[in-house]
Amino acid sequence: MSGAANPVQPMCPCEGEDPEKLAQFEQRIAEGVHIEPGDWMPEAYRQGMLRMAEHHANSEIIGALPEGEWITRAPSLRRKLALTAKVQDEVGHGQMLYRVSQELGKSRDDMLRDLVMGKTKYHNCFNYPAPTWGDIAMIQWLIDGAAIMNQKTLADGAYGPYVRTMNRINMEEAFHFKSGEDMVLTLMSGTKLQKQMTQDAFDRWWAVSLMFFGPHDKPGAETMPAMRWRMKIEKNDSLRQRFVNRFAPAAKDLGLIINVCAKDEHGYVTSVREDEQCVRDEATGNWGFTDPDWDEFFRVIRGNGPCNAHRLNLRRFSHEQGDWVRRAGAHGTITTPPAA
Amino acid sequence: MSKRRHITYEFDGDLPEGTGDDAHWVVYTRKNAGGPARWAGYLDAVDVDLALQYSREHYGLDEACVGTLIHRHDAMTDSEYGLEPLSPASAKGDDGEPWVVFVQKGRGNIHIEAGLVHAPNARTAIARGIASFAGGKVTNVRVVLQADCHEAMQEDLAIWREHDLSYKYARGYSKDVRAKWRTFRDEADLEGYRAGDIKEHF
Amino acid sequence: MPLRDDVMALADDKLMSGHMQSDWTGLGPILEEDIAASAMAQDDLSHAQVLYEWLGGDPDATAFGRQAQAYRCCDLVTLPDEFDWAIATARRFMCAHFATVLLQDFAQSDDADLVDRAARLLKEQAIQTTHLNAWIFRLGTGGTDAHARMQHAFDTLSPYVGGLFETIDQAADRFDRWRAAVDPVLQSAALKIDVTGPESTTCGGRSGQHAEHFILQQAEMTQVRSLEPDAAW
Repeated sequence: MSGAANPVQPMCPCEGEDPEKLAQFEQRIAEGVHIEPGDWMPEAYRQGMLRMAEHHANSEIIGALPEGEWITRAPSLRRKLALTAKVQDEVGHGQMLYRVSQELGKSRDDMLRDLVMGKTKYHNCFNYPAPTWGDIAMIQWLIDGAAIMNQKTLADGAYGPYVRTMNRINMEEAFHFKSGEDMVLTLMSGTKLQKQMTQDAFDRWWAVSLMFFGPHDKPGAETMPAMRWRMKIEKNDSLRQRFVNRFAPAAKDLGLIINVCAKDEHGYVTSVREDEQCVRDEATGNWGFTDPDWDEFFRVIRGNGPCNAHRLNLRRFSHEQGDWVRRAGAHGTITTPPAA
Repeated sequence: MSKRRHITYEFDGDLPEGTGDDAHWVVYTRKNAGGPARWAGYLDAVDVDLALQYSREHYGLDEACVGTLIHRHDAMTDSEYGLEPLSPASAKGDDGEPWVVFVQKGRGNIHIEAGLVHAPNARTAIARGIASFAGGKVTNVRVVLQADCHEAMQEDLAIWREHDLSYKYARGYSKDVRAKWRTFRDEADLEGYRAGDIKEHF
Repeated sequence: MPLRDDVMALADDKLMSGHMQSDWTGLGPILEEDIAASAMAQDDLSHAQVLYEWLGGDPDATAFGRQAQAYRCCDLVTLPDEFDWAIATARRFMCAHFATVLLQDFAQSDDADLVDRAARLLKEQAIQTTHLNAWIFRLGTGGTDAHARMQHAFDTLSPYVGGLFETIDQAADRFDRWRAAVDPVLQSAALKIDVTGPESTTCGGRSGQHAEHFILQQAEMTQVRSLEPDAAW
């Protein structure tokens, strides 16, 4: 689960690049040609892809934490297995995505160190709390649903190694989403307590999933390098609208109420009112929605969200705890393990 | 939640000095015996034994497979990536060491094992690989000395599990999800939703 | 019914081993090892399910619906690892070899269904023992710090090893076979365990007299389900 939608990094201009090579590079991308290792690429593209894959990988590694909290409490063998496998997939995705950035010039060790020391970012949505089992259902349904929508477009990108990785990742994201959908359906078919738990979790995650796609696009986003070079394929606002068109009617059919919520600094809902804008516009076919609180979004990005400190604290501790194992592993070259 | 995930840890100072990265490995999986090894991903590991174990426990469980094949990233030599399929060539000869040849059928695609050539060096192996396997249909040829390719096989130690793994695949939920939706949506709505599902999510 | 009791003991060990180890997912020392250890934790949970099915009844009810004293896992499996990979690895190593011994015997039993199940599980059990043997060797020979940490882990766990064999049929014979499997690996890594026989110094789990650390784990494991014990989740 993740998606690279929110690192909207200003791309450095292509100063000093050979104009002929640059023109050829852009021409190839415009023609839908994939960029492969060994091809000439502008330095800004190399840096941009490295940062994008690193951010995506970081998001997978931190994204493993909120759901990981519930593995010990999952309510059936199948749910326990599925949640373990899902969190495991995220570690696997992180591992694969770090490899894309490794090939572009940064070591994984450095990336993991920069992550735990707060020098690099990860997706904002993992800085929110998951206080009930209902949150696990919502993360897998809404956040993974949003991630698949985003990643399906990223698999149409131009950088070959990232595209190949994304295609494999999307195969597994489909499981995450389906498992989430199954949990939401089960809970909303269940008891009063289960339905209330689901509604409360939905209130916590709906606005977060709208923010998942990143802030409103700046005018002319299509012509900026990120989209011109097909690192980013679809605009944030367009992805967000597609998400609402799919999930708003589904939520309503399930009996969930789409609320506009106020939250405290811990990410808990303090008051709700039904979102009256959330109706289908018959002329366009689009569903309306109340814009999420973008001040909150930027506050969380700057490190002041409900769980930023806790997530990094745990990840750093696990990194430091593992230090001796990594050193022991690197200690000698063992070629033959003892026989069983 | 477990105690380890709940408490706040104290740190003094900076992180311990880094350990650097272990060797990089490229991983392929074989769906069936005798079938080609297809690129699956990468991993880092200090040596070949650990790399093989990790290839089984990660990529070997992504989808049903009977074996994994790995080589160090620095053991491979790729031809240029053609904009068009590489032109057929007629390099002949069978002197030298055996090399495993992988081909890419179009930019952005994965590499798939094509077969063996014998050659005294990587450059010649690529030329002979193009002659033997390109056929005007591939954009890249990769060669790795056969001695540098290592395989883990189901028959030696289980890779794919025999117990129910449906919990970790989307198809393990499809039927249940559909049945549960029926209580919330009528059949026509559900069909439209499913079509969207396939478009958006699979 | 010694056979049924032994199957229940191993199934509960597997459940709680899987429960303890799956909690490491996302927190392991190396990304690749995290993934591999999580795959084996899933195997343990799945093996518990396969054995519960043989015992009869709904596996979820067996796994989540019993009173604490009805569980038959030993004290070793739920001993807290205090976020120490050395303890987690040493414990998995000892439990994996114990499981192998029992599964080998189940595969020789008179019950065709159990024979079939045990034979399938043994193939996957070999994944764990192979992986853990290699890691015990790596860590034991991975420098003085790593060796000291591993020896400390085995010293911490040794008093609980007897508990693996508590109430188990043919304990003496099975203990000998277990030693024969673990000793060469430990010796190759210059590690020692201070266990001389199957008599437990710390015991109780297998007869339902659980230590507090089990009670806490079981309460956490069943927390969500017990909100609505009869509902689908």
